[in-house]
Amino acid sequence: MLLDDAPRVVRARQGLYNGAMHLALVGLSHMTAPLEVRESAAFDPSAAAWALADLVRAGEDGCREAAILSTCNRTEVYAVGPTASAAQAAASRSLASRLPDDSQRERWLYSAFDQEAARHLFRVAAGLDSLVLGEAQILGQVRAALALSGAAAGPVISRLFREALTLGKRVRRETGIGDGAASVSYAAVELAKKIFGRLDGTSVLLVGAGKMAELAVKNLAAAGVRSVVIANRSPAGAERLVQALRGSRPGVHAAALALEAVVAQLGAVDIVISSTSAKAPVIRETDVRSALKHRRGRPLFLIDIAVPRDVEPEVHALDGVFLYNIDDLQNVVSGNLSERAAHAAAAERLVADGVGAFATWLAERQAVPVITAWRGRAEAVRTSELRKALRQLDHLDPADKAKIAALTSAIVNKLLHQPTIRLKEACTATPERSGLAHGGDARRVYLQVASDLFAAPPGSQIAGERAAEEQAAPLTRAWRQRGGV
Amino acid sequence: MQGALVGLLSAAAVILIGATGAAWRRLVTGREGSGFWTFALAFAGYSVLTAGGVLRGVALGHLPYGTLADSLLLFAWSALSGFLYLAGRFRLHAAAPFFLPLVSAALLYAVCVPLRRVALPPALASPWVVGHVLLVLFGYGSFALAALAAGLYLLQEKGLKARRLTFMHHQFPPLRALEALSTRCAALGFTLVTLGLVCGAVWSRQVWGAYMPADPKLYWSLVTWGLYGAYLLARSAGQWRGRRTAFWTIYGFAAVLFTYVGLNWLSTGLHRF
Repeated sequence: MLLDDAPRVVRARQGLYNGAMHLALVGLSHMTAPLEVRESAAFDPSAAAWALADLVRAGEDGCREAAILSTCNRTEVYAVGPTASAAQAAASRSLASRLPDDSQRERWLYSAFDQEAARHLFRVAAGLDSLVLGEAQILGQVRAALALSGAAAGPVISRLFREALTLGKRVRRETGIGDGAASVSYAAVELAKKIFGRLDGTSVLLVGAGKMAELAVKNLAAAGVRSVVIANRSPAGAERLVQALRGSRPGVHAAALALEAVVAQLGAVDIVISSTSAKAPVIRETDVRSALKHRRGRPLFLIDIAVPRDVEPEVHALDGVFLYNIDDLQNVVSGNLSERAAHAAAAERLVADGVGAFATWLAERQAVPVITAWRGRAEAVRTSELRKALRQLDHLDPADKAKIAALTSAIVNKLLHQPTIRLKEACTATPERSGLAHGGDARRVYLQVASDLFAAPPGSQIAGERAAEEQAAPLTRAWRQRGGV
Repeated sequence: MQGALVGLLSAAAVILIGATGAAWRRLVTGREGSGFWTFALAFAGYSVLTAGGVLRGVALGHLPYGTLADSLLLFAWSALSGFLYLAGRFRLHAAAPFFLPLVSAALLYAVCVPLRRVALPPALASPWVVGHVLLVLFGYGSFALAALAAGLYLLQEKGLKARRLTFMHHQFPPLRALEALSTRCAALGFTLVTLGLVCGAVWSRQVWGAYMPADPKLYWSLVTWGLYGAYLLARSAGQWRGRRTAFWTIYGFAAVLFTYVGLNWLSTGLHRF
C-alpha cells in the first residue's frame, strides 16, 4: 500500500525523523552468571546514580533514558535510545566495565529489545524469573530502581517500571504464584496465621533454646507475637535467649522458665516450639489432653523441630490441636512451591496482556514527535495567517475575532485528526494488518514520510513563526476560554 | 403482577447461577483472574432481587411477606446482603462457590412453588405479623451465614490437619476468625428469631387467644430455636469449641431449612408458609 519509492526518498533525507524511542535491556542474573560475577556487577545506590548520570549524559545518538535494577540475584540496565542498537550499546558499556575480565563474559549477559525487554521486566516483577518463584521482594526492588533512576527516567522508563509494578501486584493478587511460605522458618509463621489470624495477641512457648528455635521465634516476633516464654535444660541457655530477644525486640515480653513447668504452661500459651535433645517425648498426649480443659477451645499449635521428636504424634488427632514436625513443615513448603509453579501459566498470561498494552503504547509513542511536529507547524501557520487576516479586519468586535480564531483552529484540528489516527494505527498495526511488508523498517519509512510531508522546510522562518505564535497567544487563550478547542 | 415477580425472581436466580458458575470456575481452575465476574454478577443479581422486592411491595401496597415466594425473596435478600457485606469486610469472598448456590436455590424454589393468592387476609395485616416474618427470615439469613462460616472452618481445619494447604486454604480467613464469625452470626440469628417468635406469640394471642397455638411449624421452630440456644449456651460456657460447634451450626441450619421449607411438604398448619 505504501509508495514503492519511499525507501529511496527516505534515504535521501535520512536523519530528518529522529523521534523513535527504542528500549534495550542488558543484564545478567542467577540464571546466567555465577555468584562472584553477580557480586562484582551489582550496583550500590551511589554507583547506580553515577552510572545513570553517565548513561544519559552520553548525548544525542546514545541513550535518553535509563534505569538500573540491581539485586543480589540480578543486575540489569534498561536504556532508551533512538535505535535499539544505540540503546543496547549504552547499556552494555555501563555494565561491562563492572565485569571481571573473562573470555566468557558474553555468556553471562543477555539482552532484549522493545517488547521483549518489557516482557523481561514484567516477568521479573511478577516473580517468574526469581530464584524462588513468585517471591515478593523483587517488587520493592523494582520500585527502588524506579525511584533511583530519578531524572534519568523519562516517559518510557517511568511507564515501563510503573506498569511492571502494577502488573507484579496484580499477578500476586489474581494468581497463586506468591501464595504460601517458601521456606521452613516462614512456614511456621504462615501456619500460625492460618490458625490464629493476627499474631499480636498470641504467646509462644519455646522448649529448648537451639538455633532453629531461636530463628523460628524471631520470625514469629517479627510477625507480631508479643509474649515469649523460654524453657531450657540449662537455665543459662534460656536466660541468654531471653536477653537476646529483649535486645533485638524491645516490644516482646520474654521470660525464662524451668523445664519442669512446661506442661503447666500448655493451658496458657498458643504456639509451642520444641527442640530439645531429650531421648523421650517431653510433651505427651495426656498432657495436652488435660491442658485443653483450660483452653476454652482456643487452638494449640505445636511445632516439633527436635530429632528424636519431643511431642507425641497422637496429639495431632485432638480437636483444635495442630502438630507439625520438621518434615511436615518441609512438605508444606514443597507443596506451596508446586502450587506456585501450577500458577505460573496464569501469571504468564497476565504478563502477556501487560506486554501487549505496553508495546502498543510504545509504538504509538513513535508517532508522538511527528504528530507534535505537525501540530507545531500547523499552529504556527495558523496563527501567522490569522494575525495577517485580523490586521485587515480591525473593524470587527472582539467576539467576532474570537469566532474567526476558533474557525481556524477547528479547520486545523479537523484536518489533522485523521492523519493522527492513521499514523498511530500504522505504528501499532502488525505487518500483516497494515500491509507494510517489512514490519519495523516499513514503519520507520512510514514515519519518515509522514514527518517529511508536513515538516517545515529546513532553515525556514520557524523562529519568526514562533514569535507570531507568541503574539497570538492572548487571542488563542481568549477563544479557548470561550469554549474553542 | 404475579408474572412480573416471577420474571424478576427468575432473572435474579439465573444471574446468581451465573455468579455461582463463575465462582466455581475460579475455584476449580485455581483462581485465575480477579473474581471480578463472580462479584459483578452477584451484585447484579442482588440489584435485580432488590428491584423485584421493591416492585412487588409497590404493587401490593405493603411489604411483601404474604406468600412463600415472598418470604423466600426476603430470606435470599437478607442472606445475600449479609454475604456481600461480609465478603468485603472479612475476606469471605472465597466462600462464594459455597454460598451462592444456596441463594440461587432459594430463588429457584421461589419461582417454582405454586403461588397462592396475593390478597392478604385482614388478620395478617398486622405489624406483629410483619415483625414476626421479617425477624424470623432475617434470623434465618444469619443462620445461613453462620453455617457458611462453619463450613469454611471445617475445610480450613481439614487442610491444617492434613498438613497440606492448597490455594483454597490460602484464600480463606484464619480458623479463629471463622469461628468468631460463625458464633456472631448464630448469636445474631438467635436474637432475631427469638424476637420474631415473641412477635408471633403476641399476635397469636390477639387472634386466637393463645400464645402458642397447636401448629407443627411452631413446634419445629421451637426445636430449632432450642438447638441454637443450647449451642450458644454451651459455647459461652467455654466447653464447646472447634469442629464440634462447626458441625452443630451446620445441623442447626439443616433444621432451619426443614422447618422453613421441608415442613410445607409434610403437613399444613396455621402458617401460610
